[in-house]
Amino acid sequence: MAHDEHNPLTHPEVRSASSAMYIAAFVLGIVAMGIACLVTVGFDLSQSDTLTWITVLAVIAGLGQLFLLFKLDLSKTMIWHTVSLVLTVPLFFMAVGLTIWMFHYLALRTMVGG
Amino acid sequence: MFVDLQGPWNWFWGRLPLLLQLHYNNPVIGFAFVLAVGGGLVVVAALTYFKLWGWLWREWLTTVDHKKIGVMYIIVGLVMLFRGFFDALMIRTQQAAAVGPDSPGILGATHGYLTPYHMDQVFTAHGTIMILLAVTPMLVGFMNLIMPIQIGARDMAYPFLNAVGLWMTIVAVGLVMASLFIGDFSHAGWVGLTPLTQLAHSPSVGVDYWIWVIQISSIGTTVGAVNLIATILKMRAPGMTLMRMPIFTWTTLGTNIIGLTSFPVLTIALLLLTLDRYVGTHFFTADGGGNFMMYTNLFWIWGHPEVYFVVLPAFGFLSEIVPTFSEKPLFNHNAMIVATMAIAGVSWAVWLHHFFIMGQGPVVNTFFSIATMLVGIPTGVKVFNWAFTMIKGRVRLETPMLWALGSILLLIGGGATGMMLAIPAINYVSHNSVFVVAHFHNMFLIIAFALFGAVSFWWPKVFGFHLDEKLGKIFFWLFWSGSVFVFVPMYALGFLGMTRRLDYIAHPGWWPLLLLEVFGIGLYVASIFAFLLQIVVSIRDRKKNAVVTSDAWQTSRNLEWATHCPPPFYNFAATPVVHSIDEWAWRREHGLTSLKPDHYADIHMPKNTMVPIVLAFFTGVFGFAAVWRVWWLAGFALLGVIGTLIFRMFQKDIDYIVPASEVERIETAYLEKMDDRAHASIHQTGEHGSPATQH
Ligand code: HEM
Ligand SMILES: [Cu+2]
Repeated sequence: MAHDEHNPLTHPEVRSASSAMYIAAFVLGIVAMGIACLVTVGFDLSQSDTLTWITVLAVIAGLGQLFLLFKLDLSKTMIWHTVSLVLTVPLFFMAVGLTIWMFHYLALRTMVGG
Repeated sequence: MFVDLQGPWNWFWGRLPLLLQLHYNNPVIGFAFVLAVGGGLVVVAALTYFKLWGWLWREWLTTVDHKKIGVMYIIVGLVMLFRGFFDALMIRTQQAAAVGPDSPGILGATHGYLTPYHMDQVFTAHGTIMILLAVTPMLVGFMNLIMPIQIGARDMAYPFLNAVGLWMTIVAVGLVMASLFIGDFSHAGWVGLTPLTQLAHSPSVGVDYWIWVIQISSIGTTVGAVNLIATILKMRAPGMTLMRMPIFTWTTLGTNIIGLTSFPVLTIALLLLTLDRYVGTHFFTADGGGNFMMYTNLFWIWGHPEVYFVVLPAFGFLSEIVPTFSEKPLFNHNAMIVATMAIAGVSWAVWLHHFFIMGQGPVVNTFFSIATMLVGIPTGVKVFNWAFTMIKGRVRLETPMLWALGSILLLIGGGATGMMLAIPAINYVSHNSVFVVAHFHNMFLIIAFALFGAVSFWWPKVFGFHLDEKLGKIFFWLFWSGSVFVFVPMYALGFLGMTRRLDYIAHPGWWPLLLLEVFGIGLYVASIFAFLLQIVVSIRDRKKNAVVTSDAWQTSRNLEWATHCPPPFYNFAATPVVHSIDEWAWRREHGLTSLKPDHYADIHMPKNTMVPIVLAFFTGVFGFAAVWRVWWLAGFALLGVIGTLIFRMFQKDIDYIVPASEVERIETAYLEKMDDRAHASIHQTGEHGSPATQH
């Protein structure tokens, strides 16, 4: 019901698409994953160093997706998407943060996952 | 391939040759087969005999009308409620039959009539079906059916997406039913106990069915959530500010924000489990670097918000029913809104209470214990608000109100036991006992009661006639007594130390309580007959019980009562303008109840489409192929999904205009019919004919 555009090619989201950026996002993702793979399999790092490496790589790949692929910004078309994403950030930190906290204590006290 | 499959596999048939090894001589499954196939054949025969296929296709299967989609969601949910109930019947009778070493066994079972492997599948299917394929579709159905009318919209924001959501749910239902006869279902509990769900411990296709059923139904829930949120934010009638929105609409918003934010966690958890099972990774294994408690953690990060996903809409129903039958506005509308959103927010910070005993120690447990108890505050606010609504009101005990009162009473029991479980010291002894099972059934019964209240409350709006009151009350009392007889003994058994998911009960002293539970389930069976009879009788007497005004209960309060019963496909002849909270009550007070608009205008509506069914077909094939690891078929099905979506994007002819003259014709016919009915009803003394003066 809520649509003003009949031609999908004129949708603002579609208009902002760009093959170069898509390919860049794809390449960035592949490269980041490749390095992460190398780091975990090839390098002989301590557990915490490995985790730091792959976390940083994941953040880079994620940012690449957000800006290159989804084109998140504050324009009229995109602000809904951007705001929705920002609203989930507290949940993300809560879920991940509390998880790290509980598994930290778990590791101190038991051998689960060790 | 990457993993060691037990049993045969070849590239063309995948694991289907397994079927040649399975046995179909179990009469229980035989009976279910006869019931499902027989029932299906009866429906097909009836449709053919009455030449209804065309009608079904045009009016229902290809529809994008939110009301029809809502009704179909509810019917699917009710059918699955029945299926899930059958599982419950088997659990209860098996446990009562398998008590003590001397209890006899038949059909290959040492005790009772279900082998442990079957029993485990039965309770897994019961839980998965009840939560995801019975209660959730019914709730989503009501959100679909009622919410757009409550905010004065003509349809949902994305009618096509709405149909897609429905059809994804139906695919999931189809897969779960298929698993009953083709292969088997998971035996690892509705939560998917790790590492039991790993391929090494569950080599059959059961867990795979469970995974894909949940994944596909989650797609439906997620697109539904997007749609409902967008509808509420963008499609409200003029004057319908956020703070004027009816509470049910608010709870729909809260629910779907929870759904949209939490379902992805489940999707990912199951995806990682899928990788473990299909590719041989070690995310959740007990060895090889896996962390099986991480699965439990992820599951409940979704799981606890999910329980509020199902309870908030029920609170919404109560908030609509209680004021109507107390003939008074809801006490403190704003507090209700704040409480709803507070519950939604806190629901994200309590999930660890499902595994207090993991071993993370007192510091972490204390935090989650307090967080869990905090939920009691907004919930308490709600209960007090409903109570204050009834105080000094003119309370009428018609069926919807009975269900609502039952629901509120149950909330007190379920909330109190929840508080007990939230105390880690208590939880250490009661975790995985049937006390927990009684607690969460108590909570889900709140939802079931509210749902049946909603069915009887909105039935006249949707179908234009009342449900039979007398049979409705019998249904209510049977269901209530059934609940008492099943779950009070279950609480007691929990205190006595009975653990959950037992196929054999070693302690003969528990037998009397188990028998009481069987008596309770018998009452539930009787209640189902009362419900079916109620529907049949009401349809038979539909002329006598016809609704004569748009406001079927005469004291209703919100906008859905400001259009005809049943509402025309465009909902409102002219888009309503909203003046107040409880708009319909406001109009009644100001004498503005005429349904005839000043003038008629063209109405822009979406066109029916068969694309959602086609998508469902390909998705179903994909799910089945993925379960049986027939990779080429899964690949083609996925291409089919993508192709269909691309086709839809370039479909231009997706909407149409209803000209003003046509709207006028439909409206005039409606109004005349209502006049006739009103005249006719003056000459008969209907049960609903004596409304008190309204406020
Ligand atoms: C809103 C409706 C609610 C629903 C639908 C619900 C449902 C459930 C479910 C499904 C489980 C456990 C299932 C399993 O282990 O398989 C559970 C356990 C639990 N619930 Fe609730 N619940 C609700 C409200 C509450 C409230 C209000 C509280 C506390 C204030 C609470 C506290 C708990 C606790 C502490 C457990 C864990 C018990 C244990 O495993 O030892 N619940 N509930
Ligand atoms: Cu919980």
